Amino acid sequence: MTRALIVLGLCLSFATAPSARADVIRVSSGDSIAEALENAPPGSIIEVEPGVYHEALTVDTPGITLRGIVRGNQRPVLDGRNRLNDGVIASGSPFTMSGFAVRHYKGNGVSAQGIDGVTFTDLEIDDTGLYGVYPVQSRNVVVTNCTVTRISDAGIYVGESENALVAGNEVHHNVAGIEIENTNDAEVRDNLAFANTAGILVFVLPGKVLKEARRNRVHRNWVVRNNHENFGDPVSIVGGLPPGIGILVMGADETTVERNRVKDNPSIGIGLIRLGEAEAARDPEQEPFAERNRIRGNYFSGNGLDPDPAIVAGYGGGGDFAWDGTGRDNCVDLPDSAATAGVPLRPCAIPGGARLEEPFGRGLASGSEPARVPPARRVAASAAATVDLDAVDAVVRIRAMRFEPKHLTIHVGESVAWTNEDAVVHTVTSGRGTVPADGPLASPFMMRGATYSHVFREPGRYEYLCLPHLDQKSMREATVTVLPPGPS
Amino acid sequence: MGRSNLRRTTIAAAAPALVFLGFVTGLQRPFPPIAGGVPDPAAVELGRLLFFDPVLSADGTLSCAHCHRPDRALADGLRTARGRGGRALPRNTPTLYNAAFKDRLMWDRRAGSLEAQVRIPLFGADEMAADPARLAARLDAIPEYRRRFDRVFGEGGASVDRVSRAIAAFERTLLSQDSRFDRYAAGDRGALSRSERRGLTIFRSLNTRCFECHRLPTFDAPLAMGIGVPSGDPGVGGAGGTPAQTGFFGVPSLRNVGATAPYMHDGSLATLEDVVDFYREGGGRAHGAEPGRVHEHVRPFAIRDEEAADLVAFLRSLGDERARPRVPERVPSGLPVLEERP
Repeated sequence: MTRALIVLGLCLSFATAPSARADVIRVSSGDSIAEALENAPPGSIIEVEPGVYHEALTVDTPGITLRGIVRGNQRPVLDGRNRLNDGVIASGSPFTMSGFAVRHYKGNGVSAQGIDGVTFTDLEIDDTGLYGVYPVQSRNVVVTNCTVTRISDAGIYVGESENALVAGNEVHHNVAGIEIENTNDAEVRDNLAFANTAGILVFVLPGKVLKEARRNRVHRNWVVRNNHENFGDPVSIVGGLPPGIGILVMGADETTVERNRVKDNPSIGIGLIRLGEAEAARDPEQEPFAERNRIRGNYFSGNGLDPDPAIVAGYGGGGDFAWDGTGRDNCVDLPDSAATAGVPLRPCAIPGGARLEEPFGRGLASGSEPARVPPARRVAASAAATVDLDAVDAVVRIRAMRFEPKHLTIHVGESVAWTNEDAVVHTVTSGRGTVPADGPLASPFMMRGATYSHVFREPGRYEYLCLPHLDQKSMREATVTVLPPGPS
Repeated sequence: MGRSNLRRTTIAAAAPALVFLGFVTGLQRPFPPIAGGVPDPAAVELGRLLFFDPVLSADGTLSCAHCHRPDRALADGLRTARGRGGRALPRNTPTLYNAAFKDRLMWDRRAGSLEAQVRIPLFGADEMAADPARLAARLDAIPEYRRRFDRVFGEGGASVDRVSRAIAAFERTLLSQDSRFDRYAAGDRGALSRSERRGLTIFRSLNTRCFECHRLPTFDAPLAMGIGVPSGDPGVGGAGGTPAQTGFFGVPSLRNVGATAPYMHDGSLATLEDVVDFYREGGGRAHGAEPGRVHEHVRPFAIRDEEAADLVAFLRSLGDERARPRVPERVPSGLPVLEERP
């Protein structure tokens, strides 16, 4: 794998470094991105101005960078108007795409098919059919800082691939937030998955050429209140999941699930199960049991309190953790307070393993881990751009676990900036009471010092909350009231 | 082997400054290795003669080539195959093009190698119905075969094993890797028409999901899948698979698919248009198949009629029959070659 990473690094440096050989092609609103791609030599950088582009793109040329130019809230939008099939289908190696919004496609948002070295970063994907981000049969995959919403299968999917990083993404109101399927060596970290039917899945499924899912690592994610009704295809395996699941490992081996914050998922916080017998029978070459998985050091709260009837039937009730009793050499470390369902699973024999420190002490940019991807690919600490606090119309300070002021009144067209002065991570997320919603306020994770701003263009009352802390009254039910244009 | 079918990708030197992984576009993919490597030319020639020689069948009327016809893209154009004495066989004859790349053969995937596959029609009572105990003697009685078997395999003359190996060696030369799609994949933009290119994109869509099973570059996958073509044929489920695989079949390659109508294991779909319509409706889901019998990737999808036509146009671009075998003017047995059967 080391060699693969070095090769990837070399390729990326070709593709991304502004060298004399890289052509930069500029596409302006009203132009065709497809036309630019058609004529782009290998290694080109295509820069796309903000605007709406009704196009379906294919990228088969090697080394293309498709870069949306982001100016404040403005970015290029690929809009399929529910008539086009896919936003982007890419096969050229390597491929990098960033800075776009992708919406209203019938089949999929962005897909990488058979690529070695693909990066999707800073994409806002909404309502693109079965999947949002779909790398498949690929190697060295990076999906970072994307927001993916309202997807009827998996928001971010990685399938039949090797070596992937899925980090710093926000996935909500999908059937599955993130799905790692028949894939080895994926790292899924620092993502926020809420209001999906199920937050994060690590699966083996039948009928795949790559018949294993090994050594995947799911850590430091926020997996909160995944409670959406399942609006997937009921015939599909994901479409048949009962709602209310945080993290589910099915049939995968050697998965590590640690230091995640798993809260308020009504059926199961973390589940560990085999591939179902009926599904396994369709592919006898697929080994169906989950083995040698370790689940430890996760923070649980409020899971399993309103389990789906299918979970009650299968596991006797909901809980923070559930195991179906199958598969060898699995282990779990749970806090004493954790509620378990299903069959009790033995603890991991790691000294002190049950009580790791509170997750998220250091945030996304932690430099203490060995890099699995080239340094330039690492997730930046909170993608929020710097905001000039003097240039906005109002500022909300987040400090001592409070929004100050908690209630704010402005006029249409005015901007509000939130700035985090706490040492812990916060978000500014639309939502009512304790339920996050798909609204206009959707900040990334905000480290200390990070700022997020929004311009309110419609009058109304905008309620918001902090996802990590919605269990604290001071961090929810905050409002911005936007009045019609007033007398000046 | 004296032919250029086993081309290696050697475009690196001619490609532009940036060459990633040796491929001009991401559509170029390495073919899987062929078992045993490049076959021995003498074995190939022996295999070719055997392939066309009706002496292998019990009654001396039927050769491999009667069903795998060079003028029918190595299939037969029939709904289901016709065996010994013209009797109807239950399944559609698959093309032999690129059989060399398949991990398992036969619609129900019951043969693990070309060598094993050869024996199935050779000894099948409804097919060539050869007598395994007498086949070797029958061939050894023909001096040219005796000489050729000795030359290729060493002293000992013919045997069932040697017949299988020779025919398999011949079949490993029946490659199809240079269609217009392949030239497009190698960077020749003009090799596909606009319509065919649109069809390629639809083929790779997550809306249709064709590409998930018909994978580049072979346009098949080493998998048993259920798509729910209505028939009573148990498929893989009746050939060593599990009961849950009833109605499952191997994924056929789409190489030369434009020339191998009709389609599906039972030949029940006459045209590629019919095949696309079958999938648009959700495959077997639209025909009352049990949900577990149809893979979840096969689901109804909406594409416009023009898009369906583009998809068919693309499928037709996958033709390359330049490895079409020469029909021998005579075979060592002296029996008539490819004579129409009664």
